[in-house]
Amino acid sequence: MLSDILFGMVFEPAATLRKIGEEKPVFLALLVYLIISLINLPLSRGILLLQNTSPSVYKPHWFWIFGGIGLFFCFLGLFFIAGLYSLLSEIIYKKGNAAGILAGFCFASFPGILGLACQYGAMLLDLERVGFLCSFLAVLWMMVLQVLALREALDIRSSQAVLLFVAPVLLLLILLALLFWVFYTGTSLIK
Amino acid sequence: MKKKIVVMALVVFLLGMTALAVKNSGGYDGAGNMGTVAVIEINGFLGETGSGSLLQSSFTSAEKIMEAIRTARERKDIKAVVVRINSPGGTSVAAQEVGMELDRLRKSGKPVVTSMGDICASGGYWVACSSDLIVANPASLTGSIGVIMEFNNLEGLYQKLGIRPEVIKSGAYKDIGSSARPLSPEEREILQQVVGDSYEQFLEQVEKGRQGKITRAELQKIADGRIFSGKRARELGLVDKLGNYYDALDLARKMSGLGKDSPVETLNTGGFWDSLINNVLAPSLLPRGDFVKMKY
Repeated sequence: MLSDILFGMVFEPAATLRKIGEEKPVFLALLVYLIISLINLPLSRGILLLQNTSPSVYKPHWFWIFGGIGLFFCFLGLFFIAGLYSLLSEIIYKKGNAAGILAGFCFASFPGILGLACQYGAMLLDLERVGFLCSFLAVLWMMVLQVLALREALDIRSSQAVLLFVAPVLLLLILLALLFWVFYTGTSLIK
Repeated sequence: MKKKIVVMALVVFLLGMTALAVKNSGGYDGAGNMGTVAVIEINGFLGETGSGSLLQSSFTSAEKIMEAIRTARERKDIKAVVVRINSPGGTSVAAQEVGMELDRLRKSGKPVVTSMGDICASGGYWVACSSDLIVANPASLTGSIGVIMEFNNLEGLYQKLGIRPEVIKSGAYKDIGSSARPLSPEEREILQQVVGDSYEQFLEQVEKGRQGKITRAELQKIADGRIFSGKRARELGLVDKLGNYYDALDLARKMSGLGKDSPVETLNTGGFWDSLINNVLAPSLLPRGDFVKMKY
């Protein structure tokens, strides 16, 4: 089952994400996400050390402390974003599937960690630009998978999934514009 | 079956890279490199913060040097240390403090190699004796094993200026070394004993640091304050090898089992502002004649 999903995430993402959206293997997905997050820590540290850019890695304990906190917030963010997408989808398309989105997003992070591993390997071989490209492509791939996860879990069209995917950012921009407007008119009134 | 093989290959690759990252990170922890050679520079007169002056052309704070040595001891990525000395000496206490810290560093298992610059004499040589290996250039000046205590008798000047210092003291020797009068024979004797005691400590330090390379009797013959070229010092057993800074780095790498390309990091890169702050913050803008200073 797990090997099918992981294989599918790489070679047959749409069909696999559809299955995940239907079956909602939340526990398995969270377990995979936890393992991916744990693997992410030493790999990120290795990359930072090779790049020699982050002074916080000078003190190993700080890295692990920040890593642990980061892990906690990653999970928090995952639940939040899955809930938010489901809520937005219910409002916009009258369809919700928070558990399906959550499971899909967990598995969608698998290529991301592969990209990070490739980046580390490339950096060890002194191919820093190739490593950066690997990581960049993996992030793009992850985003595509997340859009696919939304499409398959909510059974919507691709364009609708893309719109939903960018909706939180759009909402944030609208909120900021609103705040700016309120602040601007408020200060105008004071004059 | 094919799926399982592909997934297995991906997982193995992932775990392999992670294991590599964990393994490599164990040796890093510092400057982002696996196994670093640290360089600690001692340039100019070695003294405690505030003991130098702005009029002194070059001064190194012992505290800063000790801080750098501690950093080298604490950082796991630093595997060896090269102390680059270009100093004519310093105060007795500063040299001893730095030497002690270097001894602790060596006890932690990290080899210490001294690389002599133009001059590594007196207090500088005291510090060098706390390293595992001393590398000098054939033309480096070293030696000057001895102790000196000096101060000025300004009695004549005070008289010309009409200054007559009044001294109220609790004991006969409380104003020993006063610039307002000459030394009494008793005072001279007391100070000579202090200098003699300090000189004995210097001999012990050299004896300890150069064990098996120079005997006490041989040392006493040459420890009269004279200086030697690096080449002559090598013949006498005061120095281990002749070579330059890069030879010292290579020896440090070899002693710690590091590769030829292992990076080098200078731990105390203080500049003009450091020196200015050291001296301005401490009340010693001008050379002080307040009390005698014993120097190696």
